[in-house]
Amino acid sequence: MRILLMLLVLSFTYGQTIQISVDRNQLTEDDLVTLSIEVTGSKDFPQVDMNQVSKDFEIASGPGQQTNIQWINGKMTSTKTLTWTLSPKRGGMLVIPALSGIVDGRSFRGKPIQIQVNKTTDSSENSVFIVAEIDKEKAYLGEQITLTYKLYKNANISIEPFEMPDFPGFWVEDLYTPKRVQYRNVTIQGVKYQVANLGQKALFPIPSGKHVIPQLKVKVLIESKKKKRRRDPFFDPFFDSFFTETKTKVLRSKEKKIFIQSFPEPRPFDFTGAVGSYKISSHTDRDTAKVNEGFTFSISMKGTGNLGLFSIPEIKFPAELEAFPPTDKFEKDTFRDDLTGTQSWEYILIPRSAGNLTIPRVQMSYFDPKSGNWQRTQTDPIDIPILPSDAAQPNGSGLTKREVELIGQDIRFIHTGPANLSSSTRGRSNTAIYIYLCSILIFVSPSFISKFTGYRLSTEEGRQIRGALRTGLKEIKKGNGDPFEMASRAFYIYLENKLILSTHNLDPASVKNYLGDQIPSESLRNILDLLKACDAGKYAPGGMEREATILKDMAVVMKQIDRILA
Amino acid sequence: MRHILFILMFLSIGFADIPNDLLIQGNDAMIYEKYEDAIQTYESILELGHEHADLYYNLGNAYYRLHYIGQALWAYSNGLKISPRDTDSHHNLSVAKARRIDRIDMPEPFFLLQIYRDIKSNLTLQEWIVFGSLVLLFQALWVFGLQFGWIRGSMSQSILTGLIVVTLGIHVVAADKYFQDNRTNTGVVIANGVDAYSGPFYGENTLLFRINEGSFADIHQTQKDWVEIILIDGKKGWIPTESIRALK
Repeated sequence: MRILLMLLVLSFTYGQTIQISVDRNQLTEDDLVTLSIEVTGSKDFPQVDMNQVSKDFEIASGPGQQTNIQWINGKMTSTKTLTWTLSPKRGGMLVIPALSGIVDGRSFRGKPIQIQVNKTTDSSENSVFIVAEIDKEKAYLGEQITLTYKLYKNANISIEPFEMPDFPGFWVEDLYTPKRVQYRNVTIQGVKYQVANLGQKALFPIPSGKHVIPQLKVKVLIESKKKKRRRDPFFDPFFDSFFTETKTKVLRSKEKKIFIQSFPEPRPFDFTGAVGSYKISSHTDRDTAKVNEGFTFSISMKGTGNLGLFSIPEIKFPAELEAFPPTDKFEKDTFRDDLTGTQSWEYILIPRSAGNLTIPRVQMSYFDPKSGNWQRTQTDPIDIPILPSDAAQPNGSGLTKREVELIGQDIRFIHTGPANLSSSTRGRSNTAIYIYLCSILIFVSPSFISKFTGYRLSTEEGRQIRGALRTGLKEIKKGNGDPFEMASRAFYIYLENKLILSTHNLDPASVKNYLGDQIPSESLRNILDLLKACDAGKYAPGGMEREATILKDMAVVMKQIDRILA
Repeated sequence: MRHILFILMFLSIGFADIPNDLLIQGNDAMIYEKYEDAIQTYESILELGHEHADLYYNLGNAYYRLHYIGQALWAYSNGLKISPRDTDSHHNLSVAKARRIDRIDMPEPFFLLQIYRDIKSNLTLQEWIVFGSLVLLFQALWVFGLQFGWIRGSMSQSILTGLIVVTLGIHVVAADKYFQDNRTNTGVVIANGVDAYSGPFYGENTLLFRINEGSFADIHQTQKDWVEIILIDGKKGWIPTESIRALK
């Protein structure tokens, strides 16, 4: 019996009609309701925004599409129907809000539909339910909680395929997943039930804000005999048993909160998150090894608890050993409810220098939730003698001595200071260009300055002329050797520099020639006298009385002439 | 009108701070050892077109922590290009280099050449140019002084000659550096066990050699999805483009 409780007809000019309806408006929390949208005379299925519905309802299935075409008196009518199966999220007066959508490019909007959802009554009739069983409600981080979902029933039902929910805040290991649901009989408070295990999980709480065992939702079809059935002489009661009514229900287990206990302080320094009970052991595959020949070092950890959720503390190998990242192996023991297994790591170690090496002990602390205490397990250190390599090559296969040392070091920490991020065009800053321009300006500026101000620039010749007197006086001051010789040479050097002469063969006659029209005759006579005296002093022992004063005289005369020539 | 101006001002401040905010965010992620997040953040700054030596340095550290040696070397090398005298980058680069699997060694160069290379790598191109221009400026001032007779003495001439030589030398180094930076296109191999073939496709080509993460190679030419690389010891081969990352 399908009751159209809510009927909404929207008429368009083109004759399209849209009906939005539900099949009932009174239901219990585990019932389902069907929502259908029926469009007559449209080309396409309507597009409906169902987001608003999901506030109070969960879409159990849908949308299903259905098209009906009818010919009546040669006139065709087509009806397109979309159906959803909705399951209420809570009890009370729920509302399917006004649905809006588009059909054939036109938008439509319906009206809200009210649905009364009653609490599920615990009557004896309600004989199917799901229970989430946990073995403890208080747990430490990393302690195993065993969760079992159980289905109880005392009626004929069939279960539709279901999915396990997500477990936020837990690391989940699957302990048992039924391939086929199997029932066994139990009696609870005098009522006989059949119970089936729907799945068993080992949950390990991980640090998280919320630790809640979520609901498991299972859709079941419950068969119930029809109560009101006519007594019909033609129907045998035997047949009657075949006429059953099925009812679809969504079963939910209750959410359960897990209280997380904190570990007792102080925590051991070598605690890496292991909770349970463990034992570690280690061995090497040989007793001695050779330089540059690898050997394996294995650590195995056997125990019960949150295996796989933590790692062993990092092993500090000696610097002479090069260690490669380990291979990790995990074998799970599935015979028990507790997660038990063996985890093993294999390191390949290559010794780089000979000598006695000790592989340090590996130790690890774990928390034993049964006793509530910290425990420690450790291996023994292993001594292994390293023999020199057979092959006489110092830096065998790869690392040089310096780099082996470097492996023992670590990279330095990041720079956290404020950085002035520049945009990527590696800016050729203009500083250099300005400096170049400046240099060129300074290079060319002197010629301009001299042109406009008439300042005489210092050239090579200029420097020679200006330095002439200094050079000459320096020659006199040298003061060793024949004074006559020195005096005349000083003057000639002075003259060569002052007048830019190319010749080196100067004598009194040529001096007269060069200086004759540049200095007054008195000065000329002075210098010529002096030069002649020098010549005389050089070649004849005659002028010895002048020897003491000749240098001083020459200096005086040179300064005098320089003043005239300047 | 004034309100609009204010809004515009705030907007522009907001935009300007995005890369810096990202950098701070990335550094925080590094401190909390969330290296994947840090890498994403740093790489997004680079994608925005910003760079800084510290950014590359931190990025290198993040990659190193996750054992991406090739990427770490790429980042450190880029950082050193911007700031070649950063000792931390040098240190981390050498630590990361020690973690490489392949070791392709060049013959030890002549020691003078080695000294020259060390000097050259100590300054960026930009710094070399500025340095050269400063010496040129000094030279110009010196000549200026000579011509106006403020600088005299027998030494002044030889100092000028020395200055000319130094100026020329610095510019030669700068030119060398310029060509080194622009002509060669170096990359770092970022994948392990990369097979190098004789041609830019699988198939009939011969497998030439196999290189691992962290090797430096010059990228010689590019084909669709393939690049030809030259290793520093002279080996040539084609490898897939995504297995090598070119330095900036």
